[in-house]
Amino acid sequence: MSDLNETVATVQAVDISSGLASEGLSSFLAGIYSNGLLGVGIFIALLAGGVLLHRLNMDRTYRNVAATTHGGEVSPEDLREEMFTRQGSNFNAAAVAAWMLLFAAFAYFYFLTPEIFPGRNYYLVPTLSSGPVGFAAFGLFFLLLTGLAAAFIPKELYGYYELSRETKVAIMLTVPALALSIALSVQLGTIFPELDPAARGLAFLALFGSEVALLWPVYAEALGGIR
Amino acid sequence: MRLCIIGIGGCGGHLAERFLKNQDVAPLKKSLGEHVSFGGVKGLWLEADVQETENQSFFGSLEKGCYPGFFIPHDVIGSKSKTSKLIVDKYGYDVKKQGFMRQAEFLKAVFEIFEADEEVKRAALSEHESENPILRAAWDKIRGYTTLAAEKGMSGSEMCDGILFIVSFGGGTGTGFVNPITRYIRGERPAYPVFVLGVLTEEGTDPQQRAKEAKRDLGATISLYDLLTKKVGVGVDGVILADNQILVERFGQDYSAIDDFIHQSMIPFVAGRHYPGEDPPSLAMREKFIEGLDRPPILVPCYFRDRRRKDPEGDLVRKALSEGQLFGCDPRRAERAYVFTRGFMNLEEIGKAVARETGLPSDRIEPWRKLGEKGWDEILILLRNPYGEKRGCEVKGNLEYRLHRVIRMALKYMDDPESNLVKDGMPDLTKRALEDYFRGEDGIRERFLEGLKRIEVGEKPFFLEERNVFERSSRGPRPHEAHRGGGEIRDEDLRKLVEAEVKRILTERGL
Repeated sequence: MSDLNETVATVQAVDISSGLASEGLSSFLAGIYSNGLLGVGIFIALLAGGVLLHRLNMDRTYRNVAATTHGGEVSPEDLREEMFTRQGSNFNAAAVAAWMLLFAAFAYFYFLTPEIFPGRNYYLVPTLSSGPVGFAAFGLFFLLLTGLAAAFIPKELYGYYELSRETKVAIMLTVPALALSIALSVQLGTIFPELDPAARGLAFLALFGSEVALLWPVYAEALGGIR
Repeated sequence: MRLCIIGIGGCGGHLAERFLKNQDVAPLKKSLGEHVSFGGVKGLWLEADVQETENQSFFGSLEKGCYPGFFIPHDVIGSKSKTSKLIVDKYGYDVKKQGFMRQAEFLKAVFEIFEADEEVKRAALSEHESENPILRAAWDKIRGYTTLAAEKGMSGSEMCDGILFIVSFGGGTGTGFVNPITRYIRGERPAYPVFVLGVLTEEGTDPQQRAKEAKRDLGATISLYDLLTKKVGVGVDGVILADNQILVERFGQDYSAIDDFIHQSMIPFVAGRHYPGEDPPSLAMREKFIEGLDRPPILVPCYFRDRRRKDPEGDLVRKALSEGQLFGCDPRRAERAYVFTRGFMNLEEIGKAVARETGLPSDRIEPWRKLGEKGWDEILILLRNPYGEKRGCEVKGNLEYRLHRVIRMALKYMDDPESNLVKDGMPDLTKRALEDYFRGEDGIRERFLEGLKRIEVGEKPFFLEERNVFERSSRGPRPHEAHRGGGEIRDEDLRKLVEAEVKRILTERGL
């Protein structure tokens, strides 16, 4: 009997500790995603870090090639030309779509409902929010706004790295992940002022997970160089 | 340099698949975009056995417009073809036969018939608009990927300026195709670069085909003999050798891992992303490979890769030459070294390291550098003819040791009455030709024995003159045999000989 009690107590303890852990994680996540400035800051910092590290990676490659070249003279244009690798049109199309969706998902997550930025959001534009295609128009606006950048980024970014098939698959999988993030944000916009912390958390994870995946080749190359 | 990868036969197909794998991602298994291979290589798989093509899914039928594709050259001959019937009736060879199971002489003989027999040529010409329809069809498929096709109106920047045939030595299909197709290429562009990557099968019984080592070694020796005795400008421009025995000792009988490793080893050779200004065309590579030679060289690949670190040259070179040989050899016997690196490496340091390990002067070391993968440095050293030591065949691990064994095994198989090299059912013409080819006084048996002696005393090359199956029976005596018998050399004969030689040299140089 005492054995049984001990087992029950152990199970309860595990339940409580795992419950506490998941609760702690949830509240930590909620703390981050509900803090608009922090979220936007992380999003921009990751992007800026990617741009900076890409530049550093290119510079480091140039320096390494120059250091191992007799006379140290290498034309940067020639080197860029040699470094460029075709990644394939399936991948390129998916990468362009993913980057466009990344910006759209970001806008949907932070600027659709007043939950995070009460002073700057979709509901403050009545003509749009009362319209029959308001959500779609909101998304399209951001897609067009960032479309040029999104179309340019994959070529500039991925053409200079040797991407494994696994990395390519991970980047391609950001398309459904970001679509999920957008869908969840739209759901949150639809039920507003009702709240759904689980959907909010999942949309956040899908958004930032995708951003990390999209920038991973740059960060990985930089990490390899540091090592 | 951009190579067209042609896998021939079963082994060639498996390896070509590694080279031609699409670097793009196709989520629905079917790529909607252009096929992007590593290093921009293109290629196809030539196979003679329909069943082999049905047992895989990577290559689709070229006839149906698939890429990467396989092609069965013999399919161009219809089942009721008059040419085919003529060859069967006259020579006993069925050109529609599926696969050649370890009979290197089969395809050799078939293609020689097409070249030597005027009646067969005429029949093929009237029926297929080509004197040799099988080869013509194969070459037509390959040609489309090369700069030779680009010259006639297509964009050449994406085309291949050289060909790498991948074959297994000891099979039946592989090398049977290489020399005849090379002859076709030479007819169009004498200096077009053609290289061969040949895999020698391991010692003992082959678990896949259950073929005896001696039988496979006869196929391998015939193949090597054919490739190495063609004059430069007629045959291939380099035979890169890999030994499955070494790879089986390393990976066990995991042939997939072996194929992966051979592919990995050759990546520095085929990869793009060169150091600026260090992208030689295949033609330049060809010139370097054959410089100073009148017969194609043996090239032994030595490969090593390691995590990126500072000043990697010395360690990489040492480990490639000691631990990374794909065919056993003594690097200090090499005539030249062609070095392909991926990563950030210093030309002078590579040269010094290779010179230290091989004893070669710097002008015999040719390094080419490419940018590498993140975090890795790689080196591939192709050693030219790294053999030639007196009694080197007694030193285990030497190239001479391995090839001496292969040739001895081939001779053993030829001398075995159960081998049945000359089949009873064949027409007399073929029987005589084969008997003469195998065991005649100038047949390959004698030539293999001569090759063994040359290896034993450390002479290069060990195989000298090419030998055809239907040389005497169909073509008449060779020029150098015209004066056997001790008679005086007539002016007329001399004039013909000189004319023939001048014509050959001019043809080789494309003039």
